[in-house]
Amino acid sequence: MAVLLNPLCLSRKSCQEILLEKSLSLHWPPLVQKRTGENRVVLYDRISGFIWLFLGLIICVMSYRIDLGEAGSPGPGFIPFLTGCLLILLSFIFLVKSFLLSTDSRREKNLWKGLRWDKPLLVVIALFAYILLLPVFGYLVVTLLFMVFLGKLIQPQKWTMIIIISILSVAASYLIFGLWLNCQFPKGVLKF
Amino acid sequence: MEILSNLISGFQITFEPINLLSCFLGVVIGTLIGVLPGIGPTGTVALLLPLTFSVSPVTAIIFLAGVYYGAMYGGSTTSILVNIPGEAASIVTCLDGYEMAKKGRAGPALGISAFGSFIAGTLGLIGLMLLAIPLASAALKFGPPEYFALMCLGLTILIFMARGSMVKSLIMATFGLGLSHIGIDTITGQPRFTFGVPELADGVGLIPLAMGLFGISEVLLNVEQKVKQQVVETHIKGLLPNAKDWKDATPAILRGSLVGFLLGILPGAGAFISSFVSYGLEKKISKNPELFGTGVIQGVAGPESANNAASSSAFIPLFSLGIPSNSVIAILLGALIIHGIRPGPSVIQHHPELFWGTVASMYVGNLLLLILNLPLIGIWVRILKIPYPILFPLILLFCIIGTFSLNNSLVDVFFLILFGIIGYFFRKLEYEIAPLILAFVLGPMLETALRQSLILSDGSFTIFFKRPISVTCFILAIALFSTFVLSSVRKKKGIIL
Repeated sequence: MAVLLNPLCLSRKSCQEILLEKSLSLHWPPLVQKRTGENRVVLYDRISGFIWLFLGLIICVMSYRIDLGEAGSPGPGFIPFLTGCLLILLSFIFLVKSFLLSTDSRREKNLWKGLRWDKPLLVVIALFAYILLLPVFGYLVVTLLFMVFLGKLIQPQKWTMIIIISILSVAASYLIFGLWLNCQFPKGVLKF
Repeated sequence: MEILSNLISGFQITFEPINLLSCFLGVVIGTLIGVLPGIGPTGTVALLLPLTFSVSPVTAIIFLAGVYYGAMYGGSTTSILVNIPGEAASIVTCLDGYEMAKKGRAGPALGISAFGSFIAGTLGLIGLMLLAIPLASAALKFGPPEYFALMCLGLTILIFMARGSMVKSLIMATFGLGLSHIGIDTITGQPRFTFGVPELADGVGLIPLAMGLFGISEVLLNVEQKVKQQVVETHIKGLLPNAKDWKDATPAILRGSLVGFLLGILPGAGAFISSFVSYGLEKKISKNPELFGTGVIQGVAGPESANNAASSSAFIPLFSLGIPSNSVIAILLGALIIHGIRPGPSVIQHHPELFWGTVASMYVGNLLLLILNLPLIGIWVRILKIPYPILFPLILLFCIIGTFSLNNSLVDVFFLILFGIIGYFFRKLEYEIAPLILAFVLGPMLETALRQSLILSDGSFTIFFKRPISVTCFILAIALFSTFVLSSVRKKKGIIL
């Protein structure tokens, strides 16, 4: 592959450069991320590196306890143990690399700067509230409230618009999944 | 002749009303999500998978495959008209496509991308038919060591092709492997990493995982943006390319088809990389490379053909080896398993209706896409005007119901949200998700193959070096890996961390 890609000057780097030059991104609305030397996400990399290291250790310990088996007949813990070891090795390499790259923490890019970080948090809270309330009040009521809340969340739309779309989507989803595909939605105390 | 008679029976399957309808719906939904940025083919295929549980496997695969290659068609529309790629494989189409649109040549750009896609998709299908069968019969002779070696090579290529950092991609693949170990061990029946949760006995579901990582996380990333939606105002006239356009574009279409076809077979390469390689190739062999980026038709025809050919050839490893080459195909593989079909080289032999029905439906689907795309382009553009605040609650609702309907279980929905949050951080920290999904799907197969090989060899790893196919795969994997490590060492402070 290296032979195939490099003569065309199309390493992964150049793919990224093309994206950056043209300010193109895969997100909607378009996220324009400039990736320059001082903007690397080194601090975040270090944190995630330690999380991977920790996770690798946990996998190793847990799979060791399951049963590694013998060489001729590997037990159920054997492959997970190898996976854990690999994760430890990779996170170690990753951490070493992130520490070798010197960084000035004051110039570190804040991944949430200029963004409305409260919005995803609210969406997540709404999602958890949804699965907690669903068995209590039933599919139709909770889903309708969920849709109305989300409709108002990022850019308040007109009430009539939100209510129409919410009712339509709840009705359509109930007809398709609840009635046609026989999905057993929780009914809750309201019995519908 | 055998191929022809098989293909005819494939067409008979495709023309059954339910299959024709699912093919039509598949390509329409595919075009729609291709047009809409912010929701890609992987998320959509995962999202729609539960809808297919009540139909036969062939109808399900026809539908889901339609979504996949339909997205490749749709993605180019927004690239050309508004400089926003609908999905990753159409990014490079922006470079010349949008420039052509600015010069008032949006029509020919859209036209050539639709015709190029059609030609490349069809050529890719012929390749798929000719290559999948001999490969499957060769693969029937594969034992566990060959499979293990092949999957290792596949994962190495996947990581090599990854867009961002290699170490990060490797970590993601390892994490995917780790997730695949959760659940009851298939050989000994012992629970692993289930933490006493009964729902985890069957392991983490592919659907909550894929929908969370691709669907929910995308929504979380998008709702924090302050950018307002662009207003799309375009007038298109004259969709048919003229004689000179055809003369310029035809060689590019053919080259793009070949590049896309070859790269589509490789794991991880797929539509995205092949579109870039095709663009690079066109620029390199052009007499006027400096004109690229100013609106030359080859820059649209090549990549658009490549991504469609790649989406056809991506089915080759799925049907002949049972190995997915990208995350959409990985979900299709999951769909086969859910429908009770054991993926592997015997699929074509044991379920000829599935293979030939799908192939024939792709011919029909490509034609439908050509018909749908050209006259209806105005409608697709109008869809871009749906505001995101209205779209995202619907995406969330669909993710939740789709996941819930799998087992009528709220625990699955909990995992969906959990993976959504994890996926959000992965994307923030520039971890690529595709290696995770592929390793997750390959994990159980990889593990079974390794353990069976070791049982065969009585615990000796030398078994992998005694068989010619596995040795070749390992040598290729090691060679690939070392070229990569060497080049990143040379760069030291390069972009590849």
